[in-house]
Amino acid sequence: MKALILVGGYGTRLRPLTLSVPKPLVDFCNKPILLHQVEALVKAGVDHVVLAVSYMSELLEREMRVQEERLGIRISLSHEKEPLGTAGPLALARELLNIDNEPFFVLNSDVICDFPFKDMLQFHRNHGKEGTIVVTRVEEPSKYGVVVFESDSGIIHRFVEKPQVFVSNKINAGMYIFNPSMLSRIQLRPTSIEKEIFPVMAQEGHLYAMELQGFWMDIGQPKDFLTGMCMYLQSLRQHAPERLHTGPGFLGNVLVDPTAQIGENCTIGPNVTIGAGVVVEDGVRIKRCTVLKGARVRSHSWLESCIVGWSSSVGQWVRMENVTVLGEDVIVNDELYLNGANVLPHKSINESVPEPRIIM
Amino acid sequence: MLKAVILIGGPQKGTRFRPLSFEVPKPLFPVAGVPILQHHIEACAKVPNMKEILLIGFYQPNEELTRFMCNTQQELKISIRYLQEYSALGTGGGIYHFRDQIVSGSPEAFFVLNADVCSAFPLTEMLSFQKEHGEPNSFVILGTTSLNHCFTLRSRLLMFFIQVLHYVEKPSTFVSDIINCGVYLFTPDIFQHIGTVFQKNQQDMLLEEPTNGWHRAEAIRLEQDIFTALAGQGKLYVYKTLSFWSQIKSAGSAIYASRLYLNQYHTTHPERLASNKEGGPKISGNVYIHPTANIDPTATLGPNVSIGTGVTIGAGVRVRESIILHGATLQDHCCVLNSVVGWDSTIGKWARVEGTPSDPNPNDPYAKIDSETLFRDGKLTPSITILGCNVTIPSEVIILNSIVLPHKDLNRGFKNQIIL
Repeated sequence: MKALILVGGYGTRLRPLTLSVPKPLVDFCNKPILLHQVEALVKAGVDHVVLAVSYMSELLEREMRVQEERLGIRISLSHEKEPLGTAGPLALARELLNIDNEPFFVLNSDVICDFPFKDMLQFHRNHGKEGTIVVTRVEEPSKYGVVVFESDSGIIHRFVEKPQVFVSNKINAGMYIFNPSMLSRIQLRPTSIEKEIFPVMAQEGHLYAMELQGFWMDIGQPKDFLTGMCMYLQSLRQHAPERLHTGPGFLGNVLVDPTAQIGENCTIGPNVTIGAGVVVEDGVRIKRCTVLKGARVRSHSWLESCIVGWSSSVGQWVRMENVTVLGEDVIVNDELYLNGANVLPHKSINESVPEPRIIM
Repeated sequence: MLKAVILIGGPQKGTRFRPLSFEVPKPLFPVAGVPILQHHIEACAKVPNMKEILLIGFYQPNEELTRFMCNTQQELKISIRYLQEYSALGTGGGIYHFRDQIVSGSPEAFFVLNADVCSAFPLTEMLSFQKEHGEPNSFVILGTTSLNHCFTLRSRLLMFFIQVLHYVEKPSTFVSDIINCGVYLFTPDIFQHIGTVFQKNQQDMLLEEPTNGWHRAEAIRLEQDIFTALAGQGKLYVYKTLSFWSQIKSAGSAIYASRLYLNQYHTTHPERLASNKEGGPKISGNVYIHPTANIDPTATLGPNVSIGTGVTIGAGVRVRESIILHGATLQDHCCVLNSVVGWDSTIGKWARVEGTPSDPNPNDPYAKIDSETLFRDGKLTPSITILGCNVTIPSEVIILNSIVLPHKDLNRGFKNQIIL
């Protein structure tokens, strides 16, 4: 089976991290975002993944060669040289997707959840129509586009963008499965799948909604990245608790790479991810953070709701909070306070940032 | 034979020192480990032939003051007495009221020092200067330079050579860059001049309508009433010093003064400075630690830190540019910067207590501290963080640029606020 992952462009919402590395390769809970999706697809029987990118990255190409070998599948890159919207990329990859008459998956690259690909396939085959959209329940539906569908059959009636009154609390989760015949609906030009393709398919009775069980998050920006991390770690606690780190000084769900070193008298967690080769010195308190590969957090510092970029160094007695994001190779000097600072790569910080701002 | 008079003010004065002045009279607040007044008294006691030190103020007799005087008398072996004004008499009125006490024993001269200044007190040099340059009965004001023209904190003197030609108290426009340090050397005939003003005030009062509030004829201000009159008459001189000087008006200036005095300890009291020892905390720069303080060897202190009696400092604590008062507890890994931590307060683990220094420009050797305003444009000006006595700061929070009044138990962090 095949899958198309809509990777897109520069990943600007996840800057400064995406200034160093293309978004699909940013580590989420110690594994590149893309790999979470690809591995789940492979488990469901996918042997060919197409990445629809609008920005070509050598790094991404190289990494995909490695994964091809490792997973024993084929990974192609479909490069859109001009913006094609959310449906256009499917048309661009038409030749790759239309080969056998099998349905193919389409995923939004920012989505993290307990990927239900096997269930999707089953559900899709059962109703026998052209398309299935996975929907998820949210607390504030009016921030998104909601899906109105029949709960027993799943048949979709219509879509409503940012409704003012309550219509439904289910939104498009960014995961689809389509029959190849649906590709004829899309022309090779900038097209919005939500606005132009789906409404037509729904009217013709060819679009069904499958409700997602479990957690869901769009991790395309730092705040949501951290929220998604908490959800993922909680899911690990339920399905694979042995992967989480326990012991004195560890609270709640904590994921620690085996090559990381943690000092004495630290209190780590809840909801912390520590990457490969990270060094955490003595007396450090970390809560609700992602610490990426090779970073160092020096003694007596206090971090909450932060992302510490690859190879960065956080000094002694530093306090960082409120979605402070350090890009790659950032140095934060001793005794500083960073509140909501967004720090670009290779920067040296020697002054406190008491109110949220961007440090270039 | 010489004497010294220290004007210590009273409770209505020094309101900018709240909330620290709720616990202790401002002149007894510890700076660089010892009460402010002690620095004055130690400087006076060093002058040869100093017979007696008189404290003049309008505080009611209180235990701390009495204990302080008693201890200091014993330690320095010099007579110290407190003369209580019956009401606020001003910087001139107090010494005039007690003139008989001051001139008893016929001192050839006497110093008058303001309690709210921090200085190297070059008293012996002032004496030599008076003998060399002045007329036999001239008066000397200690002066220093302020190159920053927008400071209007104190009075300005215009000198011809070293004689004071003109004296203006807190001018709003530039007059001169020499400021009055609040340290004077007088001879007994200063009282003639004060007496003249006193008489004149009495007569004026009889002529005037009684206005609202007390207008005491006996309230005389040295600066406005006496110096302005004496300027230009060949009696008033300035001894210009290059040594350190600062006002102590607010808590922020107490930390700055602490730095100046701690630095002076290298020459005057090296035993008061902590050093790096085996099994002791890491010391950076000038730090005072009272012998009864209990400090974990993994703590890092300084520069410019004073630790009071019975203070407990836990593992991995960082303290810099701060005053930690008696009985306070700083728990593991906390960080205290530019703050005053009140008596018996507690700071929780990993908490951050931080203020903003309002120091004068360190690159300008003559820069002086600004007389800070509490609010600017309706917002609290970032300044030193002050925790009053018995305040509890919970773990892991941040207290930034805030003032916490005594006996407060906080349950979250605060920034740029006064917490009542």
